[in-house]
Amino acid sequence: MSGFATLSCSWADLDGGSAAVKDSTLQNTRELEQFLASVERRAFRMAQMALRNTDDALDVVQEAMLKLARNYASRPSAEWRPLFFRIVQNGIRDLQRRSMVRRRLLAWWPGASRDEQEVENPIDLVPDTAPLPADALMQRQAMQKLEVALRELPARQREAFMLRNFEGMDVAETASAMGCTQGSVKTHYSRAVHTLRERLGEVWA
Amino acid sequence: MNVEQQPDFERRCRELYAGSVDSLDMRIRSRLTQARHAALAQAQDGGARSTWMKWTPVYGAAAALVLGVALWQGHAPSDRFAAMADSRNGIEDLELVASNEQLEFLQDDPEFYDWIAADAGNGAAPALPAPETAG
Repeated sequence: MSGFATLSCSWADLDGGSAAVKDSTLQNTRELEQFLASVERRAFRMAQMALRNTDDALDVVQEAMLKLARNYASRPSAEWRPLFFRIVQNGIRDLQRRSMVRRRLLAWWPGASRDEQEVENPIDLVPDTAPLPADALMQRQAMQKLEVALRELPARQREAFMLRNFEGMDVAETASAMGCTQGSVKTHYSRAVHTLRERLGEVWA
Repeated sequence: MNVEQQPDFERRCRELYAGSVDSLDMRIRSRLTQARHAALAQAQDGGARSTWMKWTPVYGAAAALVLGVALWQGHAPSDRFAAMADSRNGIEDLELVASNEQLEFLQDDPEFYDWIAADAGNGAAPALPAPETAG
């Protein structure tokens, strides 16, 4: 009888342990979903600015979310942000590299015309004719100029500026997200700010 | 470069970016939400599958072990069948002893059954006892 009681306690302990693991997993999934919801729009805008294509930007963000959830969900939540943006930046770089190779191949392809080459999404090119308040219009124009200036920056400087300035990461986090040293981050960021100020200072003044 | 102006410039960049994020249209927001749900669902499916895959070598080793034991046991099937036959005989003997009806016939001619038992024990046929004569 005592053996049966001991066995019953053991099963109860096991059952409780299993429930605790399930609760922990559920809590982790909720935390991860909240994290992704908090960064997905900003990540999308970064990808959109770098790639100039809405669908590609959405693909990059979705892939980054999937990779983070699949491979790094068990890591401490404090590590998620640099990991996520590192995956996003890698995705952006991969797409840029692929589109560059495609453009070069198509340039050699006989009869390849501009129409067959990768073009921006036509919907993105249609100007928004909805009336905007003057302030909002000015903000939008200023942002468009910033986007143009950012595209002209070297890739590493652009990454450093986006992560440090837009995302508000500190130097260590940015270095982790970019996969480089903190000294490199400082250099890239400083050069990016200098160049942007030179290009936009007059326009924004 | 005026250093004092730099934080203002950076702050303005940050505000413009935040404004552009806030003004994303509903279509993009909806697609991002769908992408998030799809990513989490796929990750959970993948996690379950990877857990199952992780145990595959263990399942394989267990199956191989069972197969090996079965083959090893299969080397001497005749011994096992003989043992099963012996146990069956033992059960039948027990049934004979337990049955009152079958014990009654032993009282009819006990000497004959002694002879059969002696025959089974010695392996040679003893002389049949002479039948009792009347008178």
